[in-house]
Order: sequence, then C-alpha cells, then structure tokens
Amino acid sequence: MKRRVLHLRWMAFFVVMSCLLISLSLDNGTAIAAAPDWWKGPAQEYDQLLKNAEKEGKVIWYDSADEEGATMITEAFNKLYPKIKVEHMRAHGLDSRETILREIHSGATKMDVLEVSDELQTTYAELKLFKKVDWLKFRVDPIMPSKDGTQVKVGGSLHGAAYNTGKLSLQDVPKTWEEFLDPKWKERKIGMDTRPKTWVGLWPAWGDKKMTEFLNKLGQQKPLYKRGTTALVQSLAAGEFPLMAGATFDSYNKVKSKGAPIDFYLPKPMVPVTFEREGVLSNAPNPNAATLFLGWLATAGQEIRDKATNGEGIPLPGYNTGGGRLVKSKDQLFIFDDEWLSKKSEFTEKATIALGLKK
Amino acid sequence: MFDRNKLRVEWERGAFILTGGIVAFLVLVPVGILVWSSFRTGRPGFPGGTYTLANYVKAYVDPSTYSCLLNSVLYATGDSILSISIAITLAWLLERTNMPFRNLGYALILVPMAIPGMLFSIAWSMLLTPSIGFINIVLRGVLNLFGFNMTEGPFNIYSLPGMVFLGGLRSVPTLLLMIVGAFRMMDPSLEEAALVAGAGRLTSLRRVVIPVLRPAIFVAFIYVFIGALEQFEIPAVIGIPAGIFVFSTKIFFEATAKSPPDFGLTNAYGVAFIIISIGLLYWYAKATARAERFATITGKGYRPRVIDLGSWRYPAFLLLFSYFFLIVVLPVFILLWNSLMPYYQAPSFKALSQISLKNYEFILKVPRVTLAVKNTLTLVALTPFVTMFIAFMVSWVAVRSKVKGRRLLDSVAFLPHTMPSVVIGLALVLVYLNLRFIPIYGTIWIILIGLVTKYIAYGTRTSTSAILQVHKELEEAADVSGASPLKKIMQVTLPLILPAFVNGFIWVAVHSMREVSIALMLFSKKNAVISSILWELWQDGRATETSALGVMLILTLVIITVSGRIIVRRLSRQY
Repeated sequence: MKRRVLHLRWMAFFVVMSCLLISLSLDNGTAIAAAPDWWKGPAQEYDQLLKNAEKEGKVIWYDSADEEGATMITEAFNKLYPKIKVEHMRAHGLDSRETILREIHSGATKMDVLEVSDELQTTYAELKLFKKVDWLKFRVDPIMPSKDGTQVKVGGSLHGAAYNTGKLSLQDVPKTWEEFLDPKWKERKIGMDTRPKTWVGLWPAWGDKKMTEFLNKLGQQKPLYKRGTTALVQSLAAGEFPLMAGATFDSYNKVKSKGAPIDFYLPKPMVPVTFEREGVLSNAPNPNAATLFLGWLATAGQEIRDKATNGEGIPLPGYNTGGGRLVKSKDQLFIFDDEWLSKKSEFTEKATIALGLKK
Repeated sequence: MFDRNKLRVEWERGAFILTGGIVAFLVLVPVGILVWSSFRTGRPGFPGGTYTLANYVKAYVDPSTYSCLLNSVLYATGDSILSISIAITLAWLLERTNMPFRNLGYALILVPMAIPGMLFSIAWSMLLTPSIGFINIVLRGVLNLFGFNMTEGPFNIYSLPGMVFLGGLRSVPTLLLMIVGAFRMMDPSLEEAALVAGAGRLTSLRRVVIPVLRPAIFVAFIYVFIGALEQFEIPAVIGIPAGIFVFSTKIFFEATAKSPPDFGLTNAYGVAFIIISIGLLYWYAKATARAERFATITGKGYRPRVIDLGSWRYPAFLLLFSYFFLIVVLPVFILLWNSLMPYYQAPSFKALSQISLKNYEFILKVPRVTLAVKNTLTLVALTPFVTMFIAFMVSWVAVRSKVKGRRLLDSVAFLPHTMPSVVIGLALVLVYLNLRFIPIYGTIWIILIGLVTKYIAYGTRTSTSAILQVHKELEEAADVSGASPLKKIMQVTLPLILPAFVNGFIWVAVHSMREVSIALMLFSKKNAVISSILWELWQDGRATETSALGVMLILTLVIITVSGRIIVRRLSRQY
C-alpha cells in the first residue's frame, strides 16, 4: 500500500512536470519574463503582449530619426527583445508625411508605428487611422498620451534662442522675447526660420493681440530668414549673424557637438515646447510588437532616443534627457498640446503674415 | 510613286498616333489633374472635396500675387537676357572660331550642369553673404588697405540683382546646349559672304549669324524664360532672406510649407504658368512656321569651317575661363572647403587645423547610399534614352510630317516645362495610387515616368531646333533613292542631328541625376535616389555632410558630361 502511494506520488509529479514542460513549449520557448519597471499595468497583460509581439516578430516603424539615430534606437530595443526585428523607414518633412498619409489612405503601404506631425493630427483622427491604446499602462507622464489615446509623445522640441559666443556673451543677449525688439538687433542681426514654429508654439499663451503685435515688430527688425533651424544654427556658428530667435535644442546640439562656438538659452517669460507623437496604425500588421516598441520608446527608450536625436527626448523635468535636465520646472514651459493642434495651421498662417513673410 | 506617297502618309499618321498617345499619357494626365484640382477644395484623393472657383478668386484677387508675378518677370527677364548673351558668345567662340583649347572649353562649359541648383545657391550665399561671404571678406581686406573700412559687403547676394546674376550664370549651359548644334551646323558660307562684303567679325555675328539662328535662339530663350519663372532654388535660397518673393516661392509656401497643403490654390497659380506658356508658344509657333527659311544644312556643299580670331584667340579663352571660374571653381571650392570642415566657417588659415574627411566617412556609412547609387544609375541610364527617343519622334512628326495636329503635339510636349515639379510628382502619385494594377508606385519606374515627363520639353526643343536646321531636300533625296521612311530617318536625319541629340541626352542624364522635387514627391521605401538623400541631409541641417555628398555627386556628373563631350566630338567628326 505504501509502495503504491509512493508510486502514485511519483506519477503525479511526472504529470505536473510534463504539463509544465508542455505549457512552456506551447509558449514558443519563451520563459515568462518579469514585467520591466517601465510597465505599470498588470504583469499578465505584459506577458501576453510580449508573447504576441514575439510571435509577430517584426515592427515597421516610420519616424523622423535619421538612419544613424534610428540604428541606435533599434539596436537598443533589439538587445532587450532579440526576437522582434525593427524595420525603420524615414518619415521626414511635410512632403513625405503627406505622401505617407496618401499611401496609408489608399492601402498602398503597410506599417505599424508612425510618427505624425502636429499638422496632420486632425486628419489622422478624422480618418481613424490610429488604434486606441491605453498608454498609461506604460510608465509615462500623464500628459504624454493624446486625449483620445491614439498616440503617445515620444519626443519634444524645446524652442529657445542661441548666440555666437565669438560675437556675443551671455550678458549681451536678450533675456526676454521682447528684448529681441531692441533696435540694436535690427538689420540681419537676428537669424530666423521661415517656418514660425516657435511663435506658433507661443501663440495660445500670449493670445492673438500680443502675438501679432510682437511679430509685426519682430518682422520690422528685418531678421535674416532661412528655412530650417539647423541650417540657421550652422549660419550662426559661421558668424553670419550673432543671434538666433527660435533655435531648437536639438538643432543647437547637432552643431555644438562639432565644436561650434555657439550657446543655447531659454528666453523668458515662456518657453514653447512642441511634441513628437507616434501611434500604432489601425491596420498595423504587427500591432502587439508595435505597442510594445512604442511603449518602450516613450519610457525606457527615452534616454537612447534623446542621444540618437541630439536632444529631442521629452524635455520635461524628471526625464533623463538633455531638455529634461535643462528645464527646472514645468511652469517654465508652455506646452502646445492637444487642444491647440487643430488651430496650428491657423496660427502658422497668422504668424507668417504678421512677420511679413507672406506677400 | 503613288504607293510611295501613300506609304509616307501612313507612316506619318502612324508615328503621329503613337507619339501622340505617349505624349498625351505623359503630359495631359498631369495637366488634367492640375486643372481639375485647381477647381477643388480639400486634399486631392481624399473624401470631402467640392468643386469651387474660390481658389482662382483667392489667387487672383490677392494683390501680392501681382507683386510676386512682377518679381518673377523681372527675375526671368534678367536671367534670360544675361544667359542668352553669354551663351551666344560662348557658342560662337566654341563652334565657329579657332579659340585655343576649344575641346577643353566645351567640357568646362558643361561642368556647371553637374552642380545641383540648391548646392550652387548655397555655395554662392557662402561666397557673397554681406557679413561672412568669402569674396566679401577678401574684398574688404583689400579695401581696408586703401583706407575703406567696411564691416559688411561690398556685395550683397541677397538682392534681385544677386538672384539675376546667379540665375543668368546658371542657365548658360542649358542654353548653350540648345543652340550650339545650330551654330555647328550653320553653313559658314553665309558668314564668309559677310566678311567678304566688308563686315567685321562682330558685325557678321550680329547681322548674319544671330538672325539666321533666330529660331533656335528664340526657342532656347523661351525655354529659359519659362524655366526661370518656375525656378525655385535661387529665389528660395537668395530671394527669401532678402524678402523678395517670386511666383515659385509663393507656390512653395502654399503647396508644401503648410498643412494641409493648399493644392487647389497652388494649381490655380500653376494654371497661370500654363497660360503664359501658351502665349509664348504662340510666338514660338509663328517663329518656326517658316522653318525652311532657316534651314542651314542643305544638300549644297555643307562643310563647317572655323573663323580665325588672330590675336584675340587667348583673350577669348580667358573670357570663357572667367565664366567657368565664376560658375564652377568658386562654388566648388567653397563646397569642398565646407565638406572638410566640422561645421561651416569662412575659409581661413585658422580653420585649416580642423580639416578632416569625417563628412565623407559619414556619407559612405549611410546604408541607403548604396541603394540610392544603384537606383540613380538605373535612372541615369534609362531616362535620357526614353526621353530623347520620344522627343525625337515628336519633333520629327511636328517638323517633317504633314499630319493635322502636328504643331499641337509639339506644343503639348512643351507644357511640362511650365509645370512645377511638385505638381507633376503629385499627379503621378494620384494616378498610380489609384491605378494599382500598374504596380509601379513606390518603385523607380514611377520616378522614371516623372523625369521623362519633366524633360520631354527640353528634349523636343533640342531635337526640333536641330531638325529645323536640316533642309528637307536631304530627306527628299533619300525618298527619291527609294529609302523607306524608317531608313530615311535612321540614315539621313538622325546622323545629321546626332551631335545635338547626344547633347540633349547628356543634359537629360545630368538633370535626372540631380532632380529633387519629383524624386521627393515619389519617394518611398525602395526608390531612394542620390538627390533625395542630398535633400534629406540638407533638411537635417547637415550642411557639411551635404557638401561632401555634393562634391561626390559633382565629380560623378563631371565624368558623365566630359565622357559625353568625348562622344559628341567623335560623332561630329564621323558625320
């Protein structure tokens, strides 16, 4: 009898072990991983997401990072998730984003994750091209997911000013935006982008009247206009003009890292921040891998994204990004967010006219 | 005899239908989309748009449209006059005189085509920016020695004269290629007669050569004038910092600098381009209506000869080299300098310590460059063949056949030259996203179609002016000898115009390699080309890396143009 009980115990042990082995083999060989610290939701959900993502094995990612930066990001992700291959395709500039929009709409191109410019937010929402995801299950700042949950912020541009250190010192530069109107900065002393992104970013904070008056006066300073902030920062470094209004932190970093004699600072009273948003497409062929990748990019991937994009990580206090370290408090910033996006084109038009750029 | 005539008529009709079909597909589809979308609201291809006249009201009630138009006309006129003056002088020196180093000179003159417009404009902005332009720095140094203390200038490239100066310099190679064939093939006995009658060399150039070559020059002038109206790079890089807006930069602001792009408004402006061009085409048609008057290759002892410049030979070469220095040496020098720097700075001894090849290393490491090189080479090999073949067919039908509608065919082939490349690109996107059973969207073949459409106008101008110079008595002689229509074209017409044809071929090849707008509009995963990568780098603010790729591109294009020149030279000797 005793022997029989022992025998049955051994039988039970083998059955349990066999079941465990079978369940592991059905998991495609993946051990159940502990949820990482950038995941806030239930651990089981993470496991399920990971399992499905690994089954899909691929993410097609359209983003503005250049190849060098994108490689840094995908390699970092692949170190963590070697079974998910990230294929990067560049979506850069309004032209190519318009083309991508047409391709998605016509079904000519399949992709999983897409960075969407502010200008196209409304269109994507109207056409319901993005999938809803509960981004708060990832450890993101509550302001990072869009209100409708279709996108999450993965980076941001901090708009400030820059100056050529060979021509000016920090004492000489205008400390507030209004000080740029001083007559000493007249006639090609200030470099500015033809695309008034900085001023559009400030528009809701200052309102129509103040902004229009300011831009009228700024236009009368006869700044030197060029297209593209990095091109302007290059000219600033070369000494074409001593001061630049509306420099972005990433464009400054790009040139500064090569040893250029320039410096960046944040004029008062408000510093505009514009964000880069990405979402998972409704018809994504790999939706789980896409969600996992994007969730990582918005949280743990921020540090590497910041490096890969010369400082285009989330510029909020508490983030281990260049902008995050520069900004002391959220109150210092004006965050151009969801409620203003639909008005961006209108602000852009008004700013262009107020500066005298549209003739 | 009746049968032969019938065969000729059938052949001409067949050629007209075939060529007409191809041209209609290439040209009328984008033109149709341009006109259609000028009456639409909303994004083309998306639901919700309606028919409207509002785009026209907005475009043509706005007074700024007319100030931009005036700037465009001033710019285009200045550009065309400056470039035609230089081009005629250089064409005459190269083809009709014994100026030394003519072959070298010819190769040098074609080199500027190898510099993409954006790089050329950027280079000149680095040379003549009032504060840090290299030429201005050097000139200020010299002026300071004479007691003139200046902190800026003396030159300011950011001005209308600055734009005209650059535009004029830049249009010369195109004009030269269009008219040089006519200079080469002109019967020299006309000049000799003028000289015998006591006219000086300049007088004979002014009173004999130019009037005889008027159709070719007029066609080229119209081409460059319209091209200058549509020109974007110089007005964007030089005009915008000066606050000078032209029609093309206005269109750019409407089409691409905002979202959603206002294509309806853009295309309402584009229709104005087409109307202006139709007006110019009417003049052109009148000028070429009596084409035979201007035929200079006849069956009567055609033998090109050169004019002895005597003691003016070397100063003539110096003149040509000065042009080359301005358009190639200075801009390439500044690009090369920039490509060796970590960030842009004016050339100085102090900056010499920072020279490195890092930008070149960076370019060679970009993985997509390999794919882009492969795609670009495929396009460079195919686009000129297809373009010049269609162009020759169009020109032959227009000039030699008697089919009704032949002039219309020629005019239709000219229309793409008046259309902004952005519009051509957009039209192709809309067409091939909808015609998915033709699986070329996202491939290089759609770019090929875009480039052929864009350059067919140049191809037809080159081959039309060349065919106009060949008197039809030569073809009639072939007819009498019993040659078939195809044999007549292959053995009489084509060999006689081959140098001009190959010049056109080189022009299309070089421009295909540097065309940006169409490649960007049609850009997808697998069809990156060098020019789109160049643009991407520039947009990223990688000015020094852009310069490095630019220098590499220019070197490649120089090899193509110089090899092309060698081929043309051999062909010229052969025929």
